[in-house]
Amino acid sequence: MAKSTKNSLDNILGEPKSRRKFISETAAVTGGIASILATGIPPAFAQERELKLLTWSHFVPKSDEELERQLKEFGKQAGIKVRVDRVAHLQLPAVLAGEVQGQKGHDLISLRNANSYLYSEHLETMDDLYEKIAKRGGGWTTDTVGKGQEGRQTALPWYFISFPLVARTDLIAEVGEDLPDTWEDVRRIAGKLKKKGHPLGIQLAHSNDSNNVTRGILWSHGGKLVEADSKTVAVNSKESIEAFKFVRALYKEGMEKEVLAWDDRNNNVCLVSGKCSMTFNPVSAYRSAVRDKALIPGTDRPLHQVINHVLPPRGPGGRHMAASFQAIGVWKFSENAQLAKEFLDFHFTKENIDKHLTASQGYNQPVLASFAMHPIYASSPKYYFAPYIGWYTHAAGYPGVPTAATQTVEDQFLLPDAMAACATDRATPEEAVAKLEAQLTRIYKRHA
Amino acid sequence: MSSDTATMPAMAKSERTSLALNRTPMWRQRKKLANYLALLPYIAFALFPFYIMVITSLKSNQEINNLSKSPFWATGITTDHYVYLAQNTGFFDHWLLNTVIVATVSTVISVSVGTLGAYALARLRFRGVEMFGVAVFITYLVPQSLLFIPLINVVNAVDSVVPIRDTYWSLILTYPTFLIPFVMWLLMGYFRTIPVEVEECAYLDGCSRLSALFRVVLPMAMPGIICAVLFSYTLSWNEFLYSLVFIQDQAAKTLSVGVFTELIRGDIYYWGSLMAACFTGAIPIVVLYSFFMDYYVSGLTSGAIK
Repeated sequence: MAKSTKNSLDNILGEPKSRRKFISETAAVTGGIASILATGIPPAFAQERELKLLTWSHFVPKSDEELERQLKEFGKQAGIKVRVDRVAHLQLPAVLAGEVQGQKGHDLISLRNANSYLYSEHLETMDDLYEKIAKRGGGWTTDTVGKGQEGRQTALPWYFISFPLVARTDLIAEVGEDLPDTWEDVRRIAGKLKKKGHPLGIQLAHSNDSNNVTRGILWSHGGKLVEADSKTVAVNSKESIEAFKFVRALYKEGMEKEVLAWDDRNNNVCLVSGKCSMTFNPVSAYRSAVRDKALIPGTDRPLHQVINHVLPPRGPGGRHMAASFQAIGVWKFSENAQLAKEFLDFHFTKENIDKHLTASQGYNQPVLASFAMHPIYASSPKYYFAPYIGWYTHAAGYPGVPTAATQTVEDQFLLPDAMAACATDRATPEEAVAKLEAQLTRIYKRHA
Repeated sequence: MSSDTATMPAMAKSERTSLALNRTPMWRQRKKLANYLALLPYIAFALFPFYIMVITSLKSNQEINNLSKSPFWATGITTDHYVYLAQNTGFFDHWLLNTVIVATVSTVISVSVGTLGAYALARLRFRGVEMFGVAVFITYLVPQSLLFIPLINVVNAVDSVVPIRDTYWSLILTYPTFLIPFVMWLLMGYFRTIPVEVEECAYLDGCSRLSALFRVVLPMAMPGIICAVLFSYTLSWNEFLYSLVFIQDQAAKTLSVGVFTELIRGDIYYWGSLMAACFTGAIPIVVLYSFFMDYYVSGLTSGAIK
């Protein structure tokens, strides 16, 4: 009897442990329990499944709220916890880099411009969903956004934030002009208005806006950074040199020195303060004037009444402008990848896209053809440009697709720097273009 | 004739002499005045950021955006930005408390460990002690933007057992990586200014090394330790990168990242609320410094004179 009891005890307890092993295991268990009690968080294996989405802090808070509502609704249907996290748009790359390094983090992530290519190997393939949503939404208006390496669709195009010309209609009328249609119009009007103390404001500095507008100027003059193969550097052309000459003239005749130190917000401030006559910006500048109840200096008249948006100007090479394209992807290391894709299917339904777009007050411009003529853009003459601007708007990397090299060129603000050097006579247009070509060649070679 | 003058002749001669002796001589008053006047530009320079924060936080958006108005004055005072901060962000509900917890716990851990480490490197003689000292210094020089990459793996490894990502525990775990080298580096110099003979006396009186450390050395090093506490607390309070990378949950954010996330939306900066947040967030640090200013100054200088 005693022997059988000892045997069964041995079966339960196993081999006798050494003192060292006993102490280390006891310490580990005690430490684990202590930390669980201290943090108040259950251990990883005991936690509920949670679908997490990371996006940027949207200019219109209601857009974030609607996204969160949709995720919660989806979570309720799927019986899981959900969470939307936000960071400032300039900090998003650091967080993405951290998640890739640790192979842990959110399930769904917002990706800007070429991030889908940059993180291609860490992102789920979306080809099936891409096709399915395209059929439902009348097709995509862009075929370059969300692409990864080897042509894989690593993210779904989400929306774009366009860069129309934002103009003070009253000031332009005062100098006897119509709203500008070409870059030459912009130059002429800016020259007249600068003399009256109302310059044009385009950042020639390290800012997102500057990246977009300088590309627009280059493309409108027939220049380009790379060929359509997204590999061959093609900036050194007579069209590019003409574009650089134009920027120099525009800067000298229509702008002030402060644009060389501006970031993304300064042109908004300049417009809303009543100083700037024109700039290139999403509708946020106009919305700021509404929100802040800005007045035309020296009057009681609301400033927003005399602000309007028009299509980006036409140049010798046509009408072109760059924009911030947002895509949404799913990490490969996500434990909820399938659920994340199901959420995207849910989010890209007609009803939900419509609600998201409406909540953003039209700021999230659609990339699905059936939404291009959304009623919100007919609700105010300020938005009349919106349904058409997509025809002229390209992602960085045009005429190719945005690649890792594209993102590097953007992150280093090479084009704004080159144009600023030319505008301030630190380099001739030819020298600035040649230097830019050398920089681009080095970057594209490294990423080849 | 005033009543004061009238009573003067009536005063005893000794009383008049005593009054004259107690009065600060004019030359000394002039010197004092000159000193204060000379200090004024420095004080104005040092307080200018605070002034701009306060004045901007009290202006309306309309006035902030009006470039024709002086940025140095407010023509209309509003508390709207503070109200916005309280009602529309997690500033008072979560971020402030999270920051206090993270800064306090990280500082306690870092100063405790760093003090012992600094004492060992300053006093003990063992093989490689010089190299350890240099290694601590080099560790302190490694930028956070590089350190956060391997630290992500550490946090993830711990997170797989006890979920600490998206909680302030991830910061409490990682902040000591830059605070401990800093504290050690600061206190090593300080411990070297304390005469070894004092410790030797303690040994003669029967103290062990540990007992001598706690009963003799640490009380003498208190200004240096308080200086280390202040610096650690401030570094933790202001830290941005780790907080950004390890925490994205709104309720778990610290001040520096929370303010940035909620009050900078795309190209729109909520300047009034940003300034209100910066000002309010700076108050606890200012209060802390004001309590320990004397220790702080002596802690900084003592290490420098020997």
